[in-house]
Amino acid sequence: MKLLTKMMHLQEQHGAVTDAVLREMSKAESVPLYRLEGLRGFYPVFRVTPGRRMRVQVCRDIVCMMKGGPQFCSKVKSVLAGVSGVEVEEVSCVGRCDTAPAATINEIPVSGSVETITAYATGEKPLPSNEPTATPRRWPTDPYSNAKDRYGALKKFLKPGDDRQRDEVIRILKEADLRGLGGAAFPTGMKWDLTRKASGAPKYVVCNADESEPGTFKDRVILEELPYLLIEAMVLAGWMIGAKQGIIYIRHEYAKERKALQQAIENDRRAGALGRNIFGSDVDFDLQIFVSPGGYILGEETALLEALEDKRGEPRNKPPFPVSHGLWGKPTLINNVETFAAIPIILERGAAWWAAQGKGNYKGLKYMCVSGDVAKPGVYCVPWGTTVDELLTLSGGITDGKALYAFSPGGASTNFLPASKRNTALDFKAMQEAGSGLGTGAMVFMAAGRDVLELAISEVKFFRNESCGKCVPCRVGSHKAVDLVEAALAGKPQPDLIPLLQELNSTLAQTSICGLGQVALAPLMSVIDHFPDDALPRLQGSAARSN
Amino acid sequence: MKAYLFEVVKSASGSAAVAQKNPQVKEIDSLCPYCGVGCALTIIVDQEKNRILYTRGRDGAANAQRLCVKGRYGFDYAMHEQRLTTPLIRKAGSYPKGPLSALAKESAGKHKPGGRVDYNEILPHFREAGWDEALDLVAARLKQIRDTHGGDALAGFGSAKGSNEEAYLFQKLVRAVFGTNNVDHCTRLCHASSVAALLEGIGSGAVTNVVRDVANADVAMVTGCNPTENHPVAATFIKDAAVNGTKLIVINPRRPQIADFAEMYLQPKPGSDVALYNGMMNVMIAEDLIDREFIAARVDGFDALTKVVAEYTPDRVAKLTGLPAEDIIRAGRLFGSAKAAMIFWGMGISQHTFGTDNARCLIALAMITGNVGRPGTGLHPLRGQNNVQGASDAGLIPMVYPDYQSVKDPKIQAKFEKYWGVKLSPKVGLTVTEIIGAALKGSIKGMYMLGENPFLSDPDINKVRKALSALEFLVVQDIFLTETAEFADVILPASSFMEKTGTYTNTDRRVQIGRPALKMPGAARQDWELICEIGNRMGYPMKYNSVEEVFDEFAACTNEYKTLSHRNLGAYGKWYPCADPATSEGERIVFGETFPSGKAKLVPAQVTEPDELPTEEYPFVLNTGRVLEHWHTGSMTRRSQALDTIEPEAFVEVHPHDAAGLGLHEGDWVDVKSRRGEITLKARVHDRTTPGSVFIPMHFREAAANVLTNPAIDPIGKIPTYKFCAVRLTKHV
Amino acid sequence: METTTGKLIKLTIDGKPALVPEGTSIWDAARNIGIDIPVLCHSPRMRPVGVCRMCVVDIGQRVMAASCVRPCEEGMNVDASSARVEKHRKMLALLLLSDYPQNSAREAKTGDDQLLALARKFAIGRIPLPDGAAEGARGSDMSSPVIAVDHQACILCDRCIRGCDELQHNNVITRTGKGYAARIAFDLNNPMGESTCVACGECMAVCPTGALTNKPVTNMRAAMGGQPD
Repeated sequence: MKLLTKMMHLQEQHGAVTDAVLREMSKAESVPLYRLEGLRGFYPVFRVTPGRRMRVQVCRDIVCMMKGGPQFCSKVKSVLAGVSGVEVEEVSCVGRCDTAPAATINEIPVSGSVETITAYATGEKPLPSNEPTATPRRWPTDPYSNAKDRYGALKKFLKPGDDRQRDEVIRILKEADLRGLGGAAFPTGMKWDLTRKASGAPKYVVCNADESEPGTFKDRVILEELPYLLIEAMVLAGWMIGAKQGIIYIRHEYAKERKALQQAIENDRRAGALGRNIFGSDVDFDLQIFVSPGGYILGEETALLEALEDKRGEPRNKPPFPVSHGLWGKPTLINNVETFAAIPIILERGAAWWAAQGKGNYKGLKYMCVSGDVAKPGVYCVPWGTTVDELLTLSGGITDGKALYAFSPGGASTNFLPASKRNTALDFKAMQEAGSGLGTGAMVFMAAGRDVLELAISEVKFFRNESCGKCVPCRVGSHKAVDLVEAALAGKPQPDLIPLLQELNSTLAQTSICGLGQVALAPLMSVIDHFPDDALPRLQGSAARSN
Repeated sequence: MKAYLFEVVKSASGSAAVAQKNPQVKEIDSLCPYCGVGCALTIIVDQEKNRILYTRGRDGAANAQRLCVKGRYGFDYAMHEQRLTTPLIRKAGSYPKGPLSALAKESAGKHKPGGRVDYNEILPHFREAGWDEALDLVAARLKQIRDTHGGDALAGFGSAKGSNEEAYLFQKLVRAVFGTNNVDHCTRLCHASSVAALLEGIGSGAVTNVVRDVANADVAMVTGCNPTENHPVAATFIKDAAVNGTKLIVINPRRPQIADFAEMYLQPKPGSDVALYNGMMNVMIAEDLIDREFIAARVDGFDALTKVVAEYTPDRVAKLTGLPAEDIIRAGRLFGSAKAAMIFWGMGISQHTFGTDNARCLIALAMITGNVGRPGTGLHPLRGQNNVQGASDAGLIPMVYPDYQSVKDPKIQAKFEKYWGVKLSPKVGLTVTEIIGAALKGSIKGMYMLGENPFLSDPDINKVRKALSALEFLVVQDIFLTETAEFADVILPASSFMEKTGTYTNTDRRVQIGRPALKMPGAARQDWELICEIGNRMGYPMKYNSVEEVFDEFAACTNEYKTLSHRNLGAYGKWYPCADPATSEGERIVFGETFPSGKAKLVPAQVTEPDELPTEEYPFVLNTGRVLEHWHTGSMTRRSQALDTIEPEAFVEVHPHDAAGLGLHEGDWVDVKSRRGEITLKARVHDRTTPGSVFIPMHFREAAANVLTNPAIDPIGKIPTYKFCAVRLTKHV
Repeated sequence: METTTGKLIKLTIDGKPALVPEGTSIWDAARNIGIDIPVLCHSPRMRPVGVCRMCVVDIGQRVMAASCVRPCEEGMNVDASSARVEKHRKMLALLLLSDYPQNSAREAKTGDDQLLALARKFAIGRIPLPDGAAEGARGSDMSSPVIAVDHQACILCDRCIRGCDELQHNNVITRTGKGYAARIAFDLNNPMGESTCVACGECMAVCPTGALTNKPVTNMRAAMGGQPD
């Protein structure tokens, strides 16, 4: 953390981490030059030379492409070309899909048409405030009706705080069947138990707040409006596994959310919920926020750990896993924001209550992000087991009275499904059986008339753009796949393209180090499988017509 | 679609492919000719063109396939067009003798003069001759001097780059045929003081633990040396250890790069070493960080040592060394509390008028803490030349026969008289430094020099120039015309490392075989054969059927080598001692039970002042040394394209404060003057050197550091004080 | 791989039994019983990193395992050589070859280009992927007097980085950039000849492809604009 934090500060001071700045830093920190170059070259935040006054970064990913049109980025670029003091670049999803098309200007999120965004950039329109909301909403997973009632779960379990209490918490979490809500769906109770039993010290608790998958913005809302739930859960985690230190790894694009979080941390320290002897117990635990220098791959838990260790954010080979060999090789508990935030209410009201919140046999409440061709994009907290169709209704239905054509239920890595699957329950297993996955709970609805092949390719491009480059299949394979498909769409399809893509997909899925490479081509393959009429003619050339 | 792939799929792979297309390309398992690490490598040579193509690291005991820039890219000197190819005899008109080439006083300006001896200036003074004429002349003249003035009027400088076989034959020639013990080699200029202290202290000058044993050390002291530049591959293993937890204590007035890996880096005032070590021992004894059991069982002289070091309190030492007292205490504690501590040292310890004292201190540090004879402990003077250990073992030393057997001992003398069938002299001979003085006086009249270039490597080379001119007869045997050869009466063209079979003993006591990859150019001949030719023509039969026979004769008269032979050394060699070569690699670690002298003898040292302190007229301390890319007098490396391209120029390294005071910037020309001479060279400004001190590498004849150096020597080791003399710097106008 | 407890592990590789100390990698275990799993980024002299994925084996899990970094487990059933595994290795080779330059300096100089050796082994004739080398886009660096850098031939195996770091501890080389644009760099992305490189040649010695090769040692000064010999 030390080197990256220092580099980010130096860039703020000097406008860039220039060679001169890094040479001095190399001497001051006694690290060889190549290490600093490795970091500077990897993380998108860093610049080699200072840029212009207004840095406009326009999102190029699926929802913004749907809402702004495929030429959105280039239109903004061409309008602002030649405007002095302004530079424009394309970036990956900034996590504001509910207000697509989105961009950031000097890290401040903005939304709107090309005209709106350029007006912000030229100074015609003053930039919006970047402060957290003054009026956070009440959410169903918040057990505390007002600030005075907070930390109930913490107070309950920390005193007496002995092993029986820990066993009890594990039992409750297992009974509640809470699973990792960052996409991996690993049983939370089991993860807490394993890390608790792992040997090694000191241990760490890490919150993965690096949500960066296109269509995903639920953690953003929780960070801004329910930070105290996250903090409470992390303290409990620290107590559970015997860690004194927690780190929240947050993406740099969530600046206002970070402010809310920072404020909550300070409040909690004052209230005695963080720091030494928490609420009079013998538990010491405190938190720090680490701001990511950028990149989707940092959401992969071992890449995240690499960044915390001041290295390039390249995923590690697993095994071993973070529960036994995490930060600095020590047992580390890593959970997603939403996963942590669910824990206080589960502990306050019990596993049975949690189970009852779900539909039928499903247990609990899920934060779903809804975006795309819907009237009311946003975050919805719904019972597990709600159907896709019910969610669509909740979010105002497809815009312009059109019909639903397809949906991507769980983020960029999940397969596109046709409208015929609209009655699938929002649940990991159910969605898997339907041929996709719930992933991060990022639902993108696509209306009839959408070019699903093009949308799927934009997801593949996202993975190609965000590949860390460490392993051959992902680094080269994702690039070649996009080249192959673009050649086909330009009218020059390769013979045997489909079987070739299938083989390529198989190799990426089987041999990539991490999840990014493993799923990089999945959206494209799902469109080939589920939407052959849309895909095959254009990929195989006029020779093929589906039969 | 890539067309070449069709061809690639069809053809064979790897070296098989190369062999298929190029059957004249061969791979020869050999060694690197440069430094004492003794890296094993493979030479890939086109035998048809007689050119080396490249080298590749082999898995030798010392290097594990690693190489440095010299071993990997510095092999082409052997193929240089300036190789001597015929015997040369000085023309009658080129007397009296003096240097024949300008030592480029006007080295200012862009033109780079005189990087090497200018053959166009030298060759006109010599005529080509046949071997018989040349060898007969050499034998006749040396014989004449011997018969007229006695054997002690002759002297020989052997080579620490030559093989053990050559070294053995050379000292045999000087002793059995010249009839004197005036035989020496460049260890005199290198570790003579270290070896003197070690022989005195424990009875053996060789290292106790191999370099790679540092992996087992908790603490390693790396003092008076710059291993990343001078023993690069050995340094990689020291760095390995540091990265894996070994704590390095690096001591050097000029910060070496290995200090980047150090737990502690100490930059004492130049010349204050004895005070620093006595200070550390003061702390260790006071805090009982010593091994009393070991001292009781294996060490003599502890009480006397304790008395002396008691005066070196941290505060007093702080004043003497310029280091903070708490650093001295911390260093003492760090070393003293280590379970296993190892000491590496180099020229910064040995090349002083108190070099022997410095080494005595290091020995004492190891002995009082019991850090000898176990893994991760020991004394390791890093040997510079690829075969300086072997050359010393083979007896190229005026005081001892092979295996350090004293020439003064009547029993030993009798043994060798019997072995060689001739009467020998019991008088200890003169060392390299003393021989130069004796030549000036006229008591040495004839010399045989093999693979040495004292003109550039000895201190005060203006004095050396006069001495060499004064000799009645000088025969120089070498592969290039060196500055020394300019003073020769006869020059004999010899074999390079790449052209001979021989054994070489590295710093680890590892004896390895070097093998020929090239054919000798022109009429050049094998060094070992030429030595025998001279002996034969002087009336003493020296007939061997092979180099292996020479080794066997050498090994048989020693304890350390007697179990070894070319056959059992094989491709990777052995460490000595090696009780059973059939089953063992030899001993990595020695003296676990006892020392060759029985118990270790501690000899306390008092700090003394360097011989020539800075004055107002000469206010800077001159430190000399080496750089990574070059080797000693540069006769090899300045003829290597890669090495000379990377580092083509002489320089003087000046601290930024001093540079500011002198109005100097990077790249400015500077005149550097001492009481002995003056040179002009470019400045490099860097803060690694101590303020008040400057550094000049020795390799560049156009700005020869040894024009300036002080010939004062250590009284016991007789080694010159290369690391300390006084100079003045002025910006060149 | 370091042995931790001294415990012995039993497993099968391609149907053959193997017994190894705990902590041994599958790749080492295979080599011990005579099964040579192809590698590019792995070298026994250095820490394994598992980035080229050529050594993948099927251990019956959801995805394949890189045998150079995967420790053996009791009862493991390793498929190191079936058609299923070979198919992926071939695809990985194709991916690398599609960006490989027309002429490998390593193959020309020393005949030991390991990527081309794999191409022969897999009998690769046709590469059905778009040619990334046509533009020669990734460039070359001839600034070092002794080592020629051809970025187009670099497969980002990290061997040079590990050689420079872990063997020689000269600490000069890093990866820079990200994704497909990643490449090796010296110091702060300086030309190799202007960096702190000390020309030890370890990077060149461990490089499996034509990315880092020896420049010819003779006539170098003339080539670099200095005075000829």
